[in-house]
Amino acid sequence: MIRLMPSETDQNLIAGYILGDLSPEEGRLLKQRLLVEPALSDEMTALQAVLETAYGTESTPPAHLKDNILAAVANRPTPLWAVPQPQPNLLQAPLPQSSAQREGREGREEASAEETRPRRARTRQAASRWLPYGFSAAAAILVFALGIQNYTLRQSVQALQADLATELASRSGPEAMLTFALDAPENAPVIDEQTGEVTITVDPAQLEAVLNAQGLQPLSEEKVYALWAVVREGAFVTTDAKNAVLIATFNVDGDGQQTQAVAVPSVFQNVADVKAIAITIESAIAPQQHQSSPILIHQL
Amino acid sequence: MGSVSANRPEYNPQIDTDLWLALRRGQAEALGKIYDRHAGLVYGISYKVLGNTQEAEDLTQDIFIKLAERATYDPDRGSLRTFLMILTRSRAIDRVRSRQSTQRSKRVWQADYVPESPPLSIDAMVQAEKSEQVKRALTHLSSEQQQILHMAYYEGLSQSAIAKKLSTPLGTIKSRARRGLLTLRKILQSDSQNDY
Repeated sequence: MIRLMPSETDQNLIAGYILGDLSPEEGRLLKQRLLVEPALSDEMTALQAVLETAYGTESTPPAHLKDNILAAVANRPTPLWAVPQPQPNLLQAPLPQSSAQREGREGREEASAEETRPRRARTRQAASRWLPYGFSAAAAILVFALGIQNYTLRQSVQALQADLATELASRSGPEAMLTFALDAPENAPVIDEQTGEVTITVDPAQLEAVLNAQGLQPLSEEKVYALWAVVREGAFVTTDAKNAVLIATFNVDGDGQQTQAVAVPSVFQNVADVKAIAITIESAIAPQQHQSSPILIHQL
Repeated sequence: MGSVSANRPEYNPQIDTDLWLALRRGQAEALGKIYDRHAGLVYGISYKVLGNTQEAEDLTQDIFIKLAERATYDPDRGSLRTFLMILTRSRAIDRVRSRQSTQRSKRVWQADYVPESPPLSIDAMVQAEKSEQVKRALTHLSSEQQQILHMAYYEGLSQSAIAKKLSTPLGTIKSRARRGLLTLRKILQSDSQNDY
Protein backbone atom coordinates (compact mmCIF):
# COMPACT_ATOMS: atom_id res chain seq x y z
CA MET A 1 0.00 0.00 0.00
CA ILE A 2 1.34 3.41 -0.90
CA ARG A 3 1.24 5.82 1.99
CA LEU A 4 1.64 9.54 1.50
CA MET A 5 4.38 11.13 3.54
CA PRO A 6 3.07 13.58 6.13
CA SER A 7 3.85 17.25 5.68
CA GLU A 8 7.11 18.62 7.04
CA THR A 9 5.24 20.29 9.89
CA ASP A 10 3.54 17.05 10.87
CA GLN A 11 6.81 15.14 10.67
CA ASN A 12 8.45 17.71 12.90
CA LEU A 13 5.66 17.42 15.47
CA ILE A 14 5.73 13.63 15.40
CA ALA A 15 9.53 13.58 15.75
CA GLY A 16 9.18 15.90 18.75
CA TYR A 17 6.60 13.59 20.29
CA ILE A 18 8.76 10.51 19.79
CA LEU A 19 11.80 12.32 21.20
CA GLY A 20 9.69 13.53 24.13
CA ASP A 21 10.39 17.24 23.68
CA LEU A 22 7.12 18.81 22.53
CA SER A 23 6.25 22.22 23.95
CA PRO A 24 2.70 22.64 25.30
CA GLU A 25 1.76 24.59 22.17
CA GLU A 26 3.14 21.88 19.90
CA GLY A 27 1.33 19.28 21.98
CA ARG A 28 -1.99 21.04 21.36
CA LEU A 29 -1.22 21.33 17.66
CA LEU A 30 -0.38 17.64 17.34
CA LYS A 31 -3.56 16.72 19.18
CA GLN A 32 -5.57 18.72 16.64
CA ARG A 33 -3.72 17.16 13.73
CA LEU A 34 -4.36 13.64 15.05
CA LEU A 35 -8.05 14.37 15.29
CA VAL A 36 -8.14 15.52 11.68
CA GLU A 37 -5.74 12.88 10.38
CA PRO A 38 -5.67 9.73 12.55
CA ALA A 39 -3.31 8.05 10.07
CA LEU A 40 -0.53 10.18 11.55
CA SER A 41 -0.38 7.70 14.41
CA ASP A 42 1.11 5.21 11.92
CA GLU A 43 3.96 7.65 11.47
CA MET A 44 4.42 7.72 15.22
CA THR A 45 4.69 3.95 15.24
CA ALA A 46 7.25 4.00 12.44
CA LEU A 47 9.38 6.73 14.00
CA GLN A 48 9.33 5.09 17.43
CA ALA A 49 10.64 1.91 15.79
CA VAL A 50 13.47 3.90 14.20
CA LEU A 51 14.49 5.44 17.51
CA GLU A 52 14.55 2.03 19.16
CA THR A 53 16.44 0.42 16.30
CA ALA A 54 19.19 2.97 16.84
CA TYR A 55 19.07 3.45 20.60
CA GLY A 56 16.94 0.73 22.19
CA THR A 57 17.36 -2.95 22.84
CA GLU A 58 14.94 -5.62 24.05
CA SER A 59 15.29 -8.76 26.13
CA THR A 60 12.67 -10.94 27.75
CA PRO A 61 12.65 -10.35 31.50
CA PRO A 62 12.32 -13.32 33.88
CA ALA A 63 8.74 -14.46 34.38
CA HIS A 64 8.62 -13.74 38.12
CA LEU A 65 9.57 -10.07 37.75
CA LYS A 66 6.10 -8.83 36.82
CA ASP A 67 4.50 -10.39 39.91
CA ASN A 68 7.27 -8.98 42.13
CA ILE A 69 6.70 -5.47 40.78
CA LEU A 70 2.90 -5.58 41.03
CA ALA A 71 3.11 -6.94 44.59
CA ALA A 72 5.65 -4.29 45.58
CA VAL A 73 3.49 -1.47 44.19
CA ALA A 74 0.30 -2.86 45.77
CA ASN A 75 1.99 -2.95 49.17
CA ARG A 76 3.48 0.55 49.09
CA PRO A 77 1.96 3.12 51.47
CA THR A 78 1.79 5.91 48.86
CA PRO A 79 -0.01 4.52 45.84
CA LEU A 80 -0.19 6.56 42.70
CA TRP A 81 -3.78 7.63 43.10
CA ALA A 82 -2.89 9.69 46.18
CA VAL A 83 -1.07 12.33 44.14
CA PRO A 84 -2.78 15.21 42.29
CA GLN A 85 -4.42 14.12 39.05
CA PRO A 86 -3.04 15.23 35.67
CA GLN A 87 -4.72 17.71 33.35
CA PRO A 88 -6.37 16.31 30.18
CA ASN A 89 -3.64 15.04 27.92
CA LEU A 90 -2.58 15.14 24.33
CA LEU A 91 -3.86 11.72 23.41
CA GLN A 92 -6.44 11.31 26.11
CA ALA A 93 -9.38 9.07 25.34
CA PRO A 94 -12.46 9.11 27.60
CA LEU A 95 -12.13 6.46 30.29
CA PRO A 96 -14.62 5.50 32.98
CA GLN A 97 -13.91 6.93 36.44
CA SER A 98 -12.71 4.34 38.91
CA SER A 99 -13.72 3.69 42.48
CA ALA A 100 -10.15 2.68 43.16
CA GLN A 101 -9.31 6.01 44.80
CA ARG A 102 -11.34 5.05 47.85
CA GLU A 103 -10.12 1.45 47.68
CA GLY A 104 -6.57 2.69 47.43
CA ARG A 105 -6.89 4.68 50.63
CA GLU A 106 -8.34 1.69 52.45
CA GLY A 107 -5.53 -0.48 51.14
CA ARG A 108 -3.01 2.04 52.34
CA GLU A 109 -4.37 1.91 55.87
CA GLU A 110 -3.67 -1.80 55.82
CA ALA A 111 -0.14 -1.30 54.55
CA SER A 112 2.29 -3.01 56.87
CA ALA A 113 5.91 -4.03 56.97
CA GLU A 114 5.12 -5.95 53.76
CA GLU A 115 5.73 -2.78 51.73
CA THR A 116 9.42 -2.83 52.35
CA ARG A 117 9.83 -6.49 51.43
CA PRO A 118 11.58 -6.14 48.05
CA ARG A 119 14.08 -3.59 49.37
CA ARG A 120 14.59 -5.59 52.53
CA ALA A 121 15.26 -8.71 50.52
CA ARG A 122 17.87 -6.95 48.46
CA THR A 123 19.49 -5.30 51.45
CA ARG A 124 19.49 -8.61 53.30
CA GLN A 125 21.39 -10.21 50.43
CA ALA A 126 23.93 -7.42 50.50
CA ALA A 127 24.28 -7.62 54.28
CA SER A 128 24.79 -11.39 54.18
CA ARG A 129 28.00 -10.90 52.27
CA TRP A 130 29.40 -9.07 55.30
CA LEU A 131 28.51 -11.74 57.87
CA PRO A 132 31.92 -13.46 57.88
CA TYR A 133 33.48 -10.21 58.99
CA GLY A 134 32.20 -10.36 62.59
CA PHE A 135 32.12 -6.84 63.96
CA SER A 136 31.48 -5.32 60.56
CA ALA A 137 28.39 -7.49 60.26
CA ALA A 138 26.97 -6.16 63.53
CA ALA A 139 27.59 -2.61 62.39
CA ALA A 140 25.98 -3.33 59.03
CA ILE A 141 22.88 -4.78 60.67
CA LEU A 142 22.59 -1.74 62.96
CA VAL A 143 22.86 0.62 60.00
CA PHE A 144 20.34 -1.50 58.12
CA ALA A 145 17.87 -1.44 61.01
CA LEU A 146 18.19 2.33 61.39
CA GLY A 147 17.79 2.73 57.65
CA ILE A 148 14.57 0.70 57.61
CA GLN A 149 13.21 2.67 60.57
CA ASN A 150 14.02 5.94 58.84
CA TYR A 151 12.53 4.71 55.58
CA THR A 152 9.33 3.56 57.27
CA LEU A 153 8.94 6.88 59.10
CA ARG A 154 9.46 8.80 55.89
CA GLN A 155 6.91 6.66 54.09
CA SER A 156 4.40 7.24 56.90
CA VAL A 157 4.84 11.00 56.64
CA GLN A 158 4.41 10.85 52.87
CA ALA A 159 1.29 8.72 53.29
CA LEU A 160 -0.22 11.30 55.63
CA GLN A 161 0.59 14.11 53.20
CA ALA A 162 -0.85 12.12 50.32
CA ASP A 163 -4.00 11.47 52.38
CA LEU A 164 -4.48 15.19 52.71
CA ALA A 165 -4.12 15.64 48.95
CA THR A 166 -6.83 13.05 48.35
CA GLU A 167 -8.97 14.61 51.04
CA LEU A 168 -8.65 18.05 49.42
CA ALA A 169 -9.73 16.70 46.06
CA SER A 170 -12.72 14.88 47.56
CA ARG A 171 -13.90 17.83 49.72
CA SER A 172 -13.93 20.36 46.89
CA GLY A 173 -14.85 19.54 43.33
CA PRO A 174 -12.04 19.84 40.78
CA GLU A 175 -13.58 23.10 39.55
CA ALA A 176 -12.99 24.67 42.97
CA MET A 177 -9.30 23.82 42.97
CA LEU A 178 -6.73 26.18 41.51
CA THR A 179 -3.60 24.68 40.00
CA PHE A 180 -0.53 26.79 39.33
CA ALA A 181 2.47 25.51 37.39
CA LEU A 182 5.66 27.39 38.17
CA ASP A 183 8.26 28.07 35.46
CA ALA A 184 11.71 29.59 35.37
CA PRO A 185 11.50 33.41 35.28
CA GLU A 186 12.17 34.89 31.86
CA ASN A 187 15.11 36.96 33.10
CA ALA A 188 16.82 34.07 34.90
CA PRO A 189 20.51 33.71 34.08
CA VAL A 190 21.16 30.56 32.03
CA ILE A 191 23.40 29.17 34.77
CA ASP A 192 20.55 29.34 37.26
CA GLU A 193 17.98 27.87 34.92
CA GLN A 194 15.84 25.30 36.70
CA THR A 195 14.89 22.18 34.83
CA GLY A 196 12.52 21.08 37.60
CA GLU A 197 8.80 21.58 37.77
CA VAL A 198 6.57 22.58 40.65
CA THR A 199 2.79 22.67 40.72
CA ILE A 200 0.65 24.02 43.55
CA THR A 201 -2.95 22.87 43.79
CA VAL A 202 -4.87 25.21 46.08
CA ASP A 203 -8.25 24.77 47.71
CA PRO A 204 -9.17 28.43 48.39
CA ALA A 205 -12.20 27.46 50.49
CA GLN A 206 -10.15 25.41 52.93
CA LEU A 207 -6.93 27.46 52.55
CA GLU A 208 -5.03 24.26 51.98
CA ALA A 209 -2.77 23.25 49.13
CA VAL A 210 -0.61 20.46 47.81
CA LEU A 211 2.83 21.22 46.49
CA ASN A 212 4.26 18.76 43.99
CA ALA A 213 7.91 19.20 43.00
CA GLN A 214 9.68 17.16 40.34
CA GLY A 215 13.28 17.31 39.21
CA LEU A 216 14.51 20.06 41.53
CA GLN A 217 18.15 20.08 42.57
CA PRO A 218 18.64 18.55 46.05
CA LEU A 219 20.04 21.28 48.32
CA SER A 220 22.71 21.26 51.02
CA GLU A 221 21.57 21.19 54.66
CA GLU A 222 22.07 24.94 54.99
CA LYS A 223 19.57 25.72 52.24
CA VAL A 224 15.88 25.23 51.78
CA TYR A 225 13.30 25.90 49.08
CA ALA A 226 10.84 28.63 50.10
CA LEU A 227 7.36 29.00 48.60
CA TRP A 228 6.01 32.57 48.49
CA ALA A 229 2.78 34.31 47.61
CA VAL A 230 3.55 37.75 46.20
CA VAL A 231 0.52 39.98 46.77
CA ARG A 232 -0.77 43.20 45.28
CA GLU A 233 -0.26 46.55 47.00
CA GLY A 234 -2.98 47.10 49.57
CA ALA A 235 -3.92 43.44 49.98
CA PHE A 236 -5.21 42.77 53.46
CA VAL A 237 -2.26 40.71 54.64
CA THR A 238 1.06 41.32 56.35
CA THR A 239 3.94 41.05 53.90
CA ASP A 240 7.71 41.45 53.86
CA ALA A 241 9.56 44.21 52.03
CA LYS A 242 9.09 42.39 48.72
CA ASN A 243 5.30 42.25 49.17
CA ALA A 244 5.57 38.51 49.77
CA VAL A 245 4.16 36.08 52.31
CA LEU A 246 6.14 32.96 53.15
CA ILE A 247 3.82 30.00 52.65
CA ALA A 248 6.14 27.08 53.39
CA THR A 249 9.64 25.75 53.11
CA PHE A 250 10.50 22.35 51.73
CA ASN A 251 13.27 20.04 50.60
CA VAL A 252 13.39 17.40 47.90
CA ASP A 253 14.65 13.84 47.99
CA GLY A 254 17.67 12.57 46.08
CA ASP A 255 15.60 12.38 42.89
CA GLY A 256 14.46 15.97 43.28
CA GLN A 257 10.88 15.03 44.23
CA GLN A 258 8.57 16.22 46.95
CA THR A 259 4.82 16.13 47.57
CA GLN A 260 3.77 18.19 50.54
CA ALA A 261 0.55 19.52 52.01
CA VAL A 262 0.76 23.20 52.99
CA ALA A 263 -1.57 25.77 54.54
CA VAL A 264 -1.98 28.90 52.42
CA PRO A 265 -2.63 32.43 53.74
CA SER A 266 -6.13 33.92 53.70
CA VAL A 267 -5.23 36.11 50.73
CA PHE A 268 -6.00 33.06 48.55
CA GLN A 269 -9.69 33.49 49.38
CA ASN A 270 -9.53 36.44 47.01
CA VAL A 271 -7.06 35.17 44.47
CA ALA A 272 -7.18 38.47 42.58
CA ASP A 273 -4.99 39.81 45.39
CA VAL A 274 -2.26 37.28 44.61
CA LYS A 275 0.16 38.65 42.05
CA ALA A 276 2.49 35.67 41.79
CA ILE A 277 3.54 32.42 43.40
CA ALA A 278 7.26 31.93 43.55
CA ILE A 279 9.98 29.65 44.83
CA THR A 280 13.36 30.86 46.05
CA ILE A 281 16.32 29.15 47.69
CA GLU A 282 16.89 30.56 51.16
CA SER A 283 18.97 29.96 54.23
CA ALA A 284 17.44 27.05 56.17
CA ILE A 285 17.76 28.89 59.49
CA ALA A 286 16.13 32.14 58.35
CA PRO A 287 14.09 31.63 55.16
CA GLN A 288 11.81 34.52 56.13
CA GLN A 289 14.63 36.96 55.35
CA HIS A 290 13.78 36.40 51.69
CA GLN A 291 17.20 37.23 50.32
CA SER A 292 17.12 35.38 46.99
CA SER A 293 15.42 35.90 43.65
CA PRO A 294 12.83 33.44 42.36
CA ILE A 295 14.06 30.34 40.58
CA LEU A 296 10.50 29.37 39.63
CA ILE A 297 7.47 31.62 39.39
CA HIS A 298 3.86 31.73 38.24
CA GLN A 299 2.49 35.21 37.50
CA LEU A 300 -1.24 35.52 37.98
CA MET B 1 13.60 -2.75 9.06
CA GLY B 2 15.45 -5.90 9.76
CA SER B 3 16.87 -5.14 13.17
CA VAL B 4 13.61 -4.14 14.82
CA SER B 5 12.81 -6.75 17.44
CA ALA B 6 10.16 -9.22 16.40
CA ASN B 7 8.91 -9.31 20.00
CA ARG B 8 8.24 -5.59 20.15
CA PRO B 9 4.53 -4.80 20.48
CA GLU B 10 3.04 -2.61 17.81
CA TYR B 11 3.61 0.81 19.29
CA ASN B 12 0.44 2.77 19.65
CA PRO B 13 0.73 6.00 21.62
CA GLN B 14 -3.03 6.15 22.18
CA ILE B 15 -2.99 2.84 24.06
CA ASP B 16 -0.08 3.97 26.24
CA THR B 17 -1.75 7.27 27.03
CA ASP B 18 -4.99 5.53 27.99
CA LEU B 19 -3.11 3.07 30.21
CA TRP B 20 -1.13 5.84 31.85
CA LEU B 21 -4.27 7.85 32.62
CA ALA B 22 -5.99 4.71 33.93
CA LEU B 23 -3.00 4.12 36.20
CA ARG B 24 -3.17 7.72 37.41
CA ARG B 25 -6.83 7.20 38.23
CA GLY B 26 -5.88 4.30 40.45
CA GLN B 27 -6.59 1.38 38.14
CA ALA B 28 -3.74 -0.76 39.39
CA GLU B 29 -4.18 -3.37 36.65
CA ALA B 30 -3.04 -0.74 34.13
CA LEU B 31 0.50 -1.10 35.49
CA GLY B 32 0.49 -4.79 34.52
CA LYS B 33 -0.49 -3.86 30.99
CA ILE B 34 2.15 -1.14 30.78
CA TYR B 35 4.66 -3.68 32.04
CA ASP B 36 3.63 -6.18 29.35
CA ARG B 37 4.14 -3.55 26.67
CA HIS B 38 7.47 -2.13 27.79
CA ALA B 39 9.25 -4.49 30.20
CA GLY B 40 11.26 -5.99 27.34
CA LEU B 41 12.69 -2.57 26.49
CA VAL B 42 13.37 -1.57 30.10
CA TYR B 43 14.94 -4.92 30.99
CA GLY B 44 16.85 -5.05 27.70
CA ILE B 45 18.49 -1.66 28.22
CA SER B 46 19.16 -2.45 31.89
CA TYR B 47 20.84 -5.72 31.02
CA LYS B 48 22.90 -4.23 28.18
CA VAL B 49 24.28 -1.45 30.35
CA LEU B 50 24.62 -3.27 33.67
CA GLY B 51 25.73 -6.61 32.28
CA ASN B 52 24.10 -8.93 34.78
CA THR B 53 20.62 -10.26 35.29
CA GLN B 54 20.31 -9.51 39.02
CA GLU B 55 21.05 -5.81 38.62
CA ALA B 56 18.90 -5.63 35.49
CA GLU B 57 15.94 -7.11 37.38
CA ASP B 58 16.54 -4.74 40.25
CA LEU B 59 16.60 -1.67 38.00
CA THR B 60 13.56 -2.83 36.00
CA GLN B 61 11.65 -3.16 39.26
CA ASP B 62 12.72 0.32 40.37
CA ILE B 63 11.73 1.88 37.05
CA PHE B 64 8.18 0.48 37.11
CA ILE B 65 7.69 1.27 40.80
CA LYS B 66 8.79 4.87 40.15
CA LEU B 67 6.48 5.06 37.16
CA ALA B 68 3.57 3.95 39.33
CA GLU B 69 4.36 6.23 42.25
CA ARG B 70 5.47 9.45 40.63
CA ALA B 71 3.73 11.51 38.03
CA THR B 72 6.91 12.46 36.19
CA TYR B 73 5.77 11.29 32.75
CA ASP B 74 3.87 13.92 30.76
CA PRO B 75 1.89 12.43 27.84
CA ASP B 76 1.66 15.90 26.28
CA ARG B 77 5.41 16.04 25.78
CA GLY B 78 6.11 12.68 24.25
CA SER B 79 5.82 8.94 24.11
CA LEU B 80 5.86 6.75 27.20
CA ARG B 81 8.23 4.32 25.53
CA THR B 82 10.85 7.00 24.93
CA PHE B 83 10.38 8.29 28.47
CA LEU B 84 11.06 4.80 29.84
CA MET B 85 14.00 4.36 27.50
CA ILE B 86 15.72 7.55 28.67
CA LEU B 87 14.90 6.99 32.33
CA THR B 88 16.22 3.43 32.26
CA ARG B 89 19.43 4.29 30.51
CA SER B 90 20.08 7.25 32.75
CA ARG B 91 19.55 5.19 35.92
CA ALA B 92 21.60 2.31 34.56
CA ILE B 93 24.51 4.63 33.77
CA ASP B 94 24.26 6.11 37.28
CA ARG B 95 24.59 2.59 38.67
CA VAL B 96 27.59 1.77 36.49
CA ARG B 97 29.29 4.98 37.59
CA SER B 98 28.46 4.31 41.21
CA ARG B 99 29.81 0.77 40.89
CA GLN B 100 33.02 2.05 39.30
CA SER B 101 33.39 4.68 41.99
CA THR B 102 32.87 2.07 44.73
CA GLN B 103 35.48 -0.15 43.13
CA ARG B 104 37.92 2.77 42.97
CA SER B 105 37.30 3.62 46.63
CA LYS B 106 37.76 -0.01 47.60
CA ARG B 107 41.06 -0.18 45.79
CA VAL B 108 42.28 3.01 47.45
CA TRP B 109 41.14 1.73 50.84
CA GLN B 110 43.03 -1.51 50.30
CA ALA B 111 46.09 0.47 49.19
CA ASP B 112 46.23 -1.70 46.14
CA TYR B 113 48.48 0.05 43.68
CA VAL B 114 48.69 -2.75 41.15
CA PRO B 115 48.17 -1.22 37.69
CA GLU B 116 44.60 -1.74 36.71
CA SER B 117 42.92 -2.32 33.38
CA PRO B 118 40.71 0.62 32.39
CA PRO B 119 37.03 0.19 33.28
CA LEU B 120 34.59 -0.42 30.46
CA SER B 121 33.50 3.05 29.41
CA ILE B 122 29.95 4.04 28.55
CA ASP B 123 31.16 4.77 25.00
CA ALA B 124 32.55 1.26 24.67
CA MET B 125 29.21 -0.19 25.74
CA VAL B 126 27.44 2.00 23.22
CA GLN B 127 29.65 0.87 20.38
CA ALA B 128 29.12 -2.77 21.31
CA GLU B 129 25.38 -2.26 21.24
CA LYS B 130 24.98 -0.80 17.79
CA SER B 131 24.40 -2.97 14.76
CA GLU B 132 26.42 -2.37 11.62
CA GLN B 133 23.28 -1.14 9.88
CA VAL B 134 22.70 1.51 12.54
CA LYS B 135 26.35 2.54 12.63
CA ARG B 136 26.23 3.04 8.87
CA ALA B 137 22.98 4.99 9.07
CA LEU B 138 24.32 7.27 11.77
CA THR B 139 27.16 8.36 9.51
CA HIS B 140 24.56 10.14 7.37
CA LEU B 141 23.71 12.47 10.25
CA SER B 142 25.65 15.66 10.87
CA SER B 143 28.15 15.45 13.72
CA GLU B 144 25.95 17.81 15.78
CA GLN B 145 22.88 15.61 15.25
CA GLN B 146 24.83 12.48 16.18
CA GLN B 147 26.23 14.15 19.26
CA ILE B 148 22.83 15.35 20.51
CA LEU B 149 21.09 12.01 19.97
CA HIS B 150 24.02 10.24 21.59
CA MET B 151 23.88 12.50 24.64
CA ALA B 152 20.12 12.08 24.95
CA TYR B 153 19.75 8.36 24.33
CA TYR B 154 23.07 6.92 25.47
CA GLU B 155 24.04 9.30 28.24
CA GLY B 156 20.47 9.85 29.40
CA LEU B 157 20.79 13.69 29.43
CA SER B 158 17.78 15.98 29.15
CA GLN B 159 17.70 18.42 26.26
CA SER B 160 18.10 21.31 28.70
CA ALA B 161 21.24 19.66 30.06
CA ILE B 162 22.54 19.11 26.52
CA ALA B 163 21.85 22.74 25.65
CA LYS B 164 23.87 23.87 28.66
CA LYS B 165 26.69 21.44 28.05
CA LEU B 166 27.03 22.47 24.40
CA SER B 167 26.27 26.18 25.08
CA THR B 168 23.62 25.99 22.35
CA PRO B 169 20.06 27.34 22.52
CA LEU B 170 17.47 24.75 23.53
CA GLY B 171 15.47 25.36 20.34
CA THR B 172 18.51 24.48 18.21
CA ILE B 173 19.06 21.28 20.19
CA LYS B 174 15.43 20.27 19.67
CA SER B 175 15.40 20.95 15.95
CA ARG B 176 18.72 19.14 15.39
CA ALA B 177 17.48 16.10 17.33
CA ARG B 178 14.25 16.00 15.36
CA ARG B 179 15.98 16.43 12.00
CA GLY B 180 18.46 13.73 13.01
CA LEU B 181 15.71 11.26 13.83
CA LEU B 182 13.87 11.99 10.57
CA THR B 183 17.09 11.54 8.58
CA LEU B 184 17.75 8.28 10.39
CA ARG B 185 14.33 7.07 9.40
CA LYS B 186 14.91 7.85 5.73
CA ILE B 187 18.25 6.01 5.72
CA LEU B 188 17.03 2.94 7.60
CA GLN B 189 13.89 2.79 5.50
CA SER B 190 15.88 2.94 2.29
CA ASP B 191 18.31 0.26 3.62
CA SER B 192 15.32 -1.92 4.38
CA GLN B 193 13.90 -1.47 0.88
CA ASN B 194 17.26 -2.36 -0.62
CA ASP B 195 17.17 -5.70 1.22
CA TYR B 196 14.58 -6.98 -1.25
